[in-house]
Amino acid sequence: MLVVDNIHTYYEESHVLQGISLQVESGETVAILGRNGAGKSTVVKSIIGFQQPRIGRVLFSNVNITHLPSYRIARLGAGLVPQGQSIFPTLTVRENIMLASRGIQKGIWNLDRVLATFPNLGERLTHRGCDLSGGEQKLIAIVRALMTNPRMLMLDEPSEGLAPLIIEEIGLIIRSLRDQGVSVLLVEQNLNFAFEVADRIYVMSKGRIVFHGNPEELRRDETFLQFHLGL
Amino acid sequence: METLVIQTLNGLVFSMLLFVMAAGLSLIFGQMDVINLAHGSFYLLGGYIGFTMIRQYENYWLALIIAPVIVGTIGFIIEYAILRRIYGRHHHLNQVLFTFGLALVAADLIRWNWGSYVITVAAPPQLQGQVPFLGIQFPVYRLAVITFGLTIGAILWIGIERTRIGMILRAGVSDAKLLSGFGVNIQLVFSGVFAMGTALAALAGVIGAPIHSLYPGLDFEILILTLAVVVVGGLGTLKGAFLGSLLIGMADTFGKTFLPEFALFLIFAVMASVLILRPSGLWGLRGQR
Ligand SMILES: Nc1ncnc2c1ncn2[C@@H]1O[C@H](COP(=O)(O)OP(=O)(O)OP(=O)(O)O)[C@@H](O)[C@H]1O
Ligand SMILES: [Mg+2]
Repeated sequence: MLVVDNIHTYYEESHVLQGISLQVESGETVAILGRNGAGKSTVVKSIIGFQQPRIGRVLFSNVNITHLPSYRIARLGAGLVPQGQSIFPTLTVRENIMLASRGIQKGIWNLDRVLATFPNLGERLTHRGCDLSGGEQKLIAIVRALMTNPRMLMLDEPSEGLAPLIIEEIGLIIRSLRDQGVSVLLVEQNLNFAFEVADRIYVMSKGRIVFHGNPEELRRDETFLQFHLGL
Repeated sequence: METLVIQTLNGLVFSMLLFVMAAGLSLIFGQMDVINLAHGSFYLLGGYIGFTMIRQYENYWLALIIAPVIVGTIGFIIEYAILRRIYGRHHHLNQVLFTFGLALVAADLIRWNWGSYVITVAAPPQLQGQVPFLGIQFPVYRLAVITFGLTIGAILWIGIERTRIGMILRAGVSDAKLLSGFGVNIQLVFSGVFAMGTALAALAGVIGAPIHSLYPGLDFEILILTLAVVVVGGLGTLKGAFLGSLLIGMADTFGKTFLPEFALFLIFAVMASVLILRPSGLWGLRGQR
């Protein structure tokens, strides 16, 4: 589904990603862990095309997307839930959701299905994005990404700053996506959450991958966890 | 009393012209964060192209359509070929230099093609003459300009509030780049917005020509007042452009009537006070960027 092949990404002259390689198979949930500033978000931005790598390649469903504009990458089936508050504050909830719908595009997600799956959103449709709680905003950001009917969903620290109940709900959404065969690339600092939902885990530090394996292996290695993730 | 009514109407007429200008400037800024200093040049270019078309085909209405189309196409090409390379915060100086340079080049080309004397343009035959209005005689054309400005405003408002494109534009004001992550071809939106903004300027040029005539230097006069509108009204919202235009249009018209030496000073005084009290303009997008 996704192959990131030895990418180097820069901000101006600052060399942030120093040779990142990773893969996500179809229907797999993969987590990227790492401390603040490790470069996790930059990996996501490199994939979606917001910050294109200078060296290396990104393949998505066997298409070389390294230098494609973001909207083409999104249309190939990459969904994005950015870090932090990302819904459009002056738009209503309905508009935030419909914005990502490309009308006739095939796929299972549409407004009716969204409302059936998340009934609480129904009464919020006419509220403005900025009038919602953090948890509601995050949920809408996820729904917005689902409306593009992605084959792979990237979530950048979706649990950041949210209450346990909402984190649990997001975990349920991720699991049900996996059941539907959607790949998930999850960036997290909440290790327990990542351990619960991920099939495989990459750990990043200072722009490099320092660990790659399954959650059990990582959980066992306490000194490593302490060193790279500060636990 | 008569002067008051006449000047209020004149103020409204000028406000509507400024509004069509400011709407374009504000639309462009809202999406691309670019202050287009060539905006007044597109006004003047539109006016001159309109004048040439009226002379050739003796049809004002044709000019009203064709001049914005031509200027909008030029805008599209400029955005596509050059401007899109210099978006982003660290390019602000480049944007200022580029659009100002464009204005200087346009001024020279206009002078070269149309000469440097004042060209007067007749109102279309259907809208000539005067009508009694609130106890005075007022030119039909000027009343038409007020109606026209309000109509454009209504069309823009519906377009922005009620259509999918408008929704994309409103989202783009907050974060245009993010939109592309959901499959929106934001580059195309940018080109379209720049074309639309310049076409609006040209439209204002054609509408304004029978009132203000055409002459070199008018481009910068209009630009400065349009900038005043968006400073006062706030950038990035149609409401700001509309109310700012009323304020500046009235201040300019009444200033020129009652304090001719201080008209421009009056404008700058209004601007300065707003900047001190509400730096993002009276109806701007406060604290959102
Ligand atoms: N727009 C930018 N311009 C310059 N440097 C940046 C930019 N964004 C991030 N960086 C730098 O790149 C490095 C990696 O940032 P990144 O946002 O990818 O980290 P992260 O792992 O996502 O951190 P966090 O967990 O805090 O979100 C950091 O040193 C950061 O300062
Ligand atoms: Mg991050």
